[in-house]
Amino acid sequence: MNEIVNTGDYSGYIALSYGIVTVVLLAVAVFSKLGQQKARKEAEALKALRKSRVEDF
Amino acid sequence: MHIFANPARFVRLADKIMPWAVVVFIGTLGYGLYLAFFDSPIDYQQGESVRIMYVHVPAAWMSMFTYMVIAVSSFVALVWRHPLAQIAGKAAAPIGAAFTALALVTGALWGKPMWGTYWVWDGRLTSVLILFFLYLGYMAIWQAMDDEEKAGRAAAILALVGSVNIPIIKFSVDWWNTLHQPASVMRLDGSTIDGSMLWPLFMMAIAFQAYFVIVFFWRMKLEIDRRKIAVLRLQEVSGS
Amino acid sequence: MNASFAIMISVIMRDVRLGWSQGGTGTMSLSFFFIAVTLFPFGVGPEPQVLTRIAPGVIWVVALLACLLSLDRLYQADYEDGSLDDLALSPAGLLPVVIAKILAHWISTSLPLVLLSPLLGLLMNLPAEGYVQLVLSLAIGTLALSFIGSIGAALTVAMRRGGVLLSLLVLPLYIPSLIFGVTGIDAAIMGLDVLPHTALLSAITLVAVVLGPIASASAIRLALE
Repeated sequence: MNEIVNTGDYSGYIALSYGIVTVVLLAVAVFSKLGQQKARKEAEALKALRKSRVEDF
Repeated sequence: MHIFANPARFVRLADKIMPWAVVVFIGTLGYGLYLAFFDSPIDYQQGESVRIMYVHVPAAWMSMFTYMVIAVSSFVALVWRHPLAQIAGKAAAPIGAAFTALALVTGALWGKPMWGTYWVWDGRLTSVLILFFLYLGYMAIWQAMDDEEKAGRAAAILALVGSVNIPIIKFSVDWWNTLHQPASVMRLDGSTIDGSMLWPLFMMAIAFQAYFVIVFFWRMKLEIDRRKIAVLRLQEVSGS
Repeated sequence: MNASFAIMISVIMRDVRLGWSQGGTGTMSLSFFFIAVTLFPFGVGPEPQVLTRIAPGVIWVVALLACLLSLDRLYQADYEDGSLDDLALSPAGLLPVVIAKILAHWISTSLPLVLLSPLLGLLMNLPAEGYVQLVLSLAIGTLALSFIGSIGAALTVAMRRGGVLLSLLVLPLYIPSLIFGVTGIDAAIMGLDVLPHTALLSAITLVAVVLGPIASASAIRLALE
């Protein structure tokens, strides 16, 4: 078994790493999900509009 | 191949896989984080900072995996003119760029206490930086062209040229300067890492993979809907 | 085979003549090369040892930028006036035309720069041992730069402001050539064996020569649709 030679305190670096990873991945996910929902709503609205026009005609 | 060419079928398949991906993501992330922080030993050389590795290494793996996804889907898009394959490349690129950026940032945060500097012009760091530039170029060419179909094929050509270049860049940069330790997990003669550190690493790697699947499906659906909207708008204008 | 060869020769002749006519890219990139290199002694100071240390890298990087600056016009002029359509429909097909245009680009912009490089080596205080390798590595390396750059030029041909995007696409792919070009000159200066560096540089150029025209031709076909 190797003896631990490095007992430094790296909590700042560790916290920052995990923090940045969380923020970036969360941002990408939220941005993608919101964009997807917006696009779906728009597509559905357009489809409904088209359908109503056809029925009017 | 063309079984997957139908966007509606793809969306149905994605919706079926999605809950499983979410379950895997939450499970492996929770267990991986628990192992990473509470149930893994301190490295005798790296000390506590070894815990950064549990996000750094998966991010670096995913940066390469995502580029492979883009390269393969570009090949399929060019050879079989597969519409979903084009979209797949576009959907994956921002996720890959984010993973690459995270690999660089977490690597820098690990390097500062270990090597005494945030950045060195070492072979591996430099080639990951170049990979990030390749992602930027790929995303830029999508943005620069109005015609989605043409942009998709131009981006696919670029991605394939880049995929030929990545090994060349990697090996030339390694030759040029090297400080980074050699790969220690993915080795032919078995891993040199102890199991107690391998488990949190693999859990986090699976969590990152599941994250990719979830966000990738969201982005795929986003692109499919965007194309649908474009078609509907066009029909609206032309009054048919 | 003969027909495509004849077309290649005529395209090369035409493009080289255009490149060296008034306002052509040939004279301009040569002037850029000269002026940009002379900026470095002002920037880093005129100490001979410093200049000796950075000379190979500076000359190579500036040669690379000079090549890049002339790239965005490689296919654009022909695309705009429609002659690219004619060339694509020629019996020889697009591939020989693309190869010819890349070679013409190299002859009209990079070759003069290679020939002028010893003079700039002199200005940058390059040691005597480095000159042969400087010319050799630039000659082999710039050929790769033209062939790789052609892909970027073809992808951005239909864009009005493709120049910046072109640099973003092409510069990462230039890095291997740059590395082995410069390490070869450094090796020559230190009296080491230059063969491995030159061989690797040539290998990259060969890959570029094979891959560049195919990718460029498919990108141009895409733009012409």
